[in-house]
Amino acid sequence: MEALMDLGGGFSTALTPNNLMMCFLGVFLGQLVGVLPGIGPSAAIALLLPLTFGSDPTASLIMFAGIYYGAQYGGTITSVLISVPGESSTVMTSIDGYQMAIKGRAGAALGIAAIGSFIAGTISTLGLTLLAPPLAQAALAFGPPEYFALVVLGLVALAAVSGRSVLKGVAAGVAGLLLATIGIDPQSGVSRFDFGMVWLLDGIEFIVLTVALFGVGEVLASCTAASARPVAEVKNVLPTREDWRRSRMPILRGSVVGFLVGVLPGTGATIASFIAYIMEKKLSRHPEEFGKGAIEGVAGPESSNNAAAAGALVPMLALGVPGSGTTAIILGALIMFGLRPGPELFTQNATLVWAVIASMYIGNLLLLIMNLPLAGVFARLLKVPYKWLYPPILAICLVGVFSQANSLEDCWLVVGFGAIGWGMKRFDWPAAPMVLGLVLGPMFESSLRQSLTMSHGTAFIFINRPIAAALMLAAVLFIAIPVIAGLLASRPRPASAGEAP
Amino acid sequence: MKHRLLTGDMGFAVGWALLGLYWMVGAFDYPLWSGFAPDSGFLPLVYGTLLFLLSVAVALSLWFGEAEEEEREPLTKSLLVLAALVVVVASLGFIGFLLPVFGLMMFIYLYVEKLPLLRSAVVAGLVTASLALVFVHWLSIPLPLVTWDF
Repeated sequence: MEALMDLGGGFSTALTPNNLMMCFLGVFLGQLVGVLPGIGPSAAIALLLPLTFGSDPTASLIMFAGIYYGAQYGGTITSVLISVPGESSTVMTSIDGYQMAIKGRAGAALGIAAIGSFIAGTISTLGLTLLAPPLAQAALAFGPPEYFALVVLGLVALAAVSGRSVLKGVAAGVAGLLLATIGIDPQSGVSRFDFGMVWLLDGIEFIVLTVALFGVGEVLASCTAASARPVAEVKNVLPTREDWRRSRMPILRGSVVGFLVGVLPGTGATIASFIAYIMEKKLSRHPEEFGKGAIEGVAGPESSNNAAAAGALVPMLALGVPGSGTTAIILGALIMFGLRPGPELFTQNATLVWAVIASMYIGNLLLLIMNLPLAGVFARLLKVPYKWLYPPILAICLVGVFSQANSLEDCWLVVGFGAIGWGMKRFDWPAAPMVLGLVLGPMFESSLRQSLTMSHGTAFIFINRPIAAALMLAAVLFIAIPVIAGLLASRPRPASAGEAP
Repeated sequence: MKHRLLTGDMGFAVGWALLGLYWMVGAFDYPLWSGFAPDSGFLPLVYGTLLFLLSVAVALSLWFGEAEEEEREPLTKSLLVLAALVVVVASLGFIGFLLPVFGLMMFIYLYVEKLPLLRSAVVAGLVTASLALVFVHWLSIPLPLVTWDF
């Protein structure tokens, strides 16, 4: 009940003209970057960070959240019309969505995706409203050992699922932590790894690394494949009664699954959409239609990825542990605005948190309104070749990074880290854990020091306290399960077992 | 076996390993422990060691693992764009921000992408003007300026 009253307060903040405009701008930009090739929500938020520096944090975070969940809608359009998922979370949509487009039913696929996304987004935002506050309340009892364990869990969870290799993910996270040690040690005042350069005393800014990896690095990796593709026509976006009958339950199931998967740290929308697709295929009376244009194959994954986007905000807002790469960047933005992510956010910055949550209800409604009549208009954007888009993106990266500290050295850093980001993309090293490592590095170091001071130097404090121990165990499982699964999969099978006659 | 040593993948992993090694060695310039808690050098030593070991493990898995026959995009275009970025950043301090940024876009449109001159000039001009409007006039960011920036 208290949550609903707080939500009411959140609506009164979110419905002010300025915040409403930022919400619209966020979902519009999210939709746009979801449609446009070579730029995702992470890059869009990274590019906009310098513009929001010094502005109202509530309005900025409303916009960032809008970009995050709006991109899930936009990614669907590319998946259905050209079979190129705009986001990794819309990969499953492209299977049946594109088949529907080939059969002349692109409009119905986009329509059911928009309606499903709206329902799922609303249900999962309700879940966020009800689940995040008690979780944050419970986490208020956290001391330094629990915070330390939480940071370990957040880093490990994101690193373990970000790329194809757990090893590379963890290494990227450690590289981020390592970069966080550059500059003055806040406890001892000693300058570390500054290479004799005064401008490195403040360390490497989160914006610089984010813009470099997700802006410049992404462009350098994508500019070689900057070609246009034929786009299917969009007609009749309103689904028929039969479409709606077949999609009702997949939408509801996708909403629940997506939210639950999204809440788990490190999983996010992509895994949620995979699970939803497989589940719908298993439950369907006509599994043979999947892959040939089954509307359930669009409704389930689409609902699921939108629900997961809101679900991923639960651990981010309540615990300060991001559920995905994009929420890791939003977490960095919170720190940039001088806020401390984690359970205290709900008590010390309640107005901001509830305004962001309320804006998600409004944003989902705006997206539904935009998507049903304007799906065809957004589809036309697909005809803009990437070769016209990426030079302005580079220009914005340079000017944006300079503007946050008026430093030409930051421009050099953005080019250097951009080259590294290109290499990471090329050789499948995930970039999100590196950004998260840089963001959480100071908290990791201070909580470790405080914990060990409390325990007189013994590391048993992380095992003796039940919450810290549980979080550490979860972190170990995140690493161990994929490694063991990989080892089991690589074991040669006995010749007689499991072979078809 | 030799070709596996010379891949970009391997070079990238070795690069990370060297960075880890540098941090490991550099950490000894700072005190490692003070009282009950780690001092300034402790975590850099831990991070450096971890990065070194993990990167070596990646390199070893590339060496001993099955070679992937994955086709990668050609490097030329990306390298040209990267070189253009280096030139632009090097020139920022001398000729201001807006001219190099305009030049960067024109170079990519005309030389790298071979797009029509007039349309390229219009797009590059509009983007540069928009950046000037937003950053210099609205946000009052002191971009390095020279007289012919405006």
